[in-house]
Amino acid sequence: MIWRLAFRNLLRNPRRTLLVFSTLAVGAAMLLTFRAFNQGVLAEYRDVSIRSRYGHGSVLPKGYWGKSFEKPWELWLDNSAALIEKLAATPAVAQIFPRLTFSSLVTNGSLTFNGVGTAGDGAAEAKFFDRLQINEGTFLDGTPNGILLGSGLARTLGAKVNSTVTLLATTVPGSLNSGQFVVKGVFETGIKALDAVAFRVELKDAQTLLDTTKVESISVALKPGEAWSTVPSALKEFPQVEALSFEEMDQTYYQNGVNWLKSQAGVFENIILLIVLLGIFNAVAVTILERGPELASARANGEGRLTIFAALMAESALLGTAASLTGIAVVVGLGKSLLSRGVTMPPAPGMTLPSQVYLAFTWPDAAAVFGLTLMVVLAGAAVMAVRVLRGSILSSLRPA
Amino acid sequence: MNLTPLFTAKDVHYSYLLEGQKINALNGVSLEIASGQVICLSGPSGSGKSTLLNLIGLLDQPNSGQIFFSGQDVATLKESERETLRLFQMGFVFQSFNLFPALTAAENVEYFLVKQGVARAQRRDRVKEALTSVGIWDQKDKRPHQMSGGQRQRVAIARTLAKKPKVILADEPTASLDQKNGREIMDVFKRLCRDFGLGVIIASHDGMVIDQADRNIRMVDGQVREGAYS
Repeated sequence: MIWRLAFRNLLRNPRRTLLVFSTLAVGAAMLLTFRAFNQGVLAEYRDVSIRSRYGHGSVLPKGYWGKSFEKPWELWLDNSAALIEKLAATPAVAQIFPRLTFSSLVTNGSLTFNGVGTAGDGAAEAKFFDRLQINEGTFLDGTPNGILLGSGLARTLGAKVNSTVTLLATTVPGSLNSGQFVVKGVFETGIKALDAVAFRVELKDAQTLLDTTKVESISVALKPGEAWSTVPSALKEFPQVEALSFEEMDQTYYQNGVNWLKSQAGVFENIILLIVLLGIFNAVAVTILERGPELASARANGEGRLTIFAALMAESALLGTAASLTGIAVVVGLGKSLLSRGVTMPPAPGMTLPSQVYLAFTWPDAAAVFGLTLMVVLAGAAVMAVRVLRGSILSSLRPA
Repeated sequence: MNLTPLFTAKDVHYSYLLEGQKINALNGVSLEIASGQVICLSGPSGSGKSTLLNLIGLLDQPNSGQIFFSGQDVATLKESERETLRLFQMGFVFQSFNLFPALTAAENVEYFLVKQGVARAQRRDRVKEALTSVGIWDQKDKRPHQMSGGQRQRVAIARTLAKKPKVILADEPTASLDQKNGREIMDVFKRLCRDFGLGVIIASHDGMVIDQADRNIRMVDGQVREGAYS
């Protein structure tokens, strides 16, 4: 009887019900759109970080990451075959990319600048690191003495595709060594500071230049759906190394971005909820207050406060459920139709590349939005229901 | 006719504050009301008739004095016990009907039977019996807004009647009705008394109601002036 009464009460004043319904549905849609958009931004950040720079994480000498060393090569990984073999045999791992980074002077004609090089297997990395944008030329393909220049560095050096540049670096034994490299392409990570100094060469060429067989790190790509935690677990027998996820390595651009967006989302969600609550409160208040006499009459005839409270909550729950599901359905529909191609976003602060952000709708987010919307309407109704039911039967019998 | 005492009031006082001023609504009311009669609490506005009705209906409590319902001192009852008494032994009818607008006449009558825990099949019978008793079984599927004032008041009476209470308490039940409908409602009350042995207590200043009642308790300035004891 309570649910029947609750449902029919919703139809008593269709205009008012529609007002509350619309406010709740729009609120739910806004909340979910905001969450889905933020998830989309985070997914974009994540994808760029993984597929242009770090992979899903890296295996490095223990205590190496984030610190400066006078002779970093002393910590680099020697005889890494066993480690590579172990990683390759780990079921969660799809690909591994041995790497090293080093500082070098880069010279083009009369211009010389400091650069930071990343060396790896060009052909293998080209397949996985597909978010690294090549503005001119091609990826490295395994051809000896090829080099990719960061867009800023190329501009500064006045180098173009097929230009020959010279790298001058200090070898691991301590002497100077140089090599001639042909520019195969110009890349852009989107991070301006990085693109101003970065270059990429083949691992073998870098090891020759630095006169070493060591590698600095092994970048790891996981199979779809696998968790990074499987990698550190697989490497317990190698105490000299540590496995860091891309989140740990990309603290500045990714993890700080995630934290910032999450904090911002929390603030905006609360503002949206408050606006929705204020938007429906008056209508909900009038709806309940005008029923004072009939509710008091029911109480006079033996109906309990709790049952009446439950009936009012049931009514709000029905309305909240219908409205939030409608709002969620609208967002899902939009995500699959009008916004299916994503939204082109301008470059983020410190970045140079625009990005395509998709509404990353998730069921846990939909469930959270459903819960929040329901909570708002129930809270609004509860405040007024308590006010009406706290009063005496006699005071409630008087028309509002 | 069963004349067993239903209510007894002993030296009941009740006052309240209105805009900072103390209003003495009841000043030492003592009376005895038996079942099986239509009793009218009459008197001018402010005489205390509605206040007395609310007190004996357990909607409020006196400042002093005692009220007994079926021999039990109601001051000793907890709120939940008062609710139970109101649910099973009393029925209230108000001037403005106060039905659930979203429910049909039959559903309005059935509502308190669900609360009473009456089985579904029995509920159907009792709804039919109650609506038939007040002469509107043919209106059972109508919502209150589709009915006249007289019909709505009959539904209000039927929903209390279906509960099978000992007493129906009615506060100005004819005040919103025309003379014809008011008279018909009084006929309904009298027939219920006769057929079901109910007590019906009506607070009213309507001369027709006073004339039709089996007993009139006349109140003035919070005191019973006439008809305190039958």
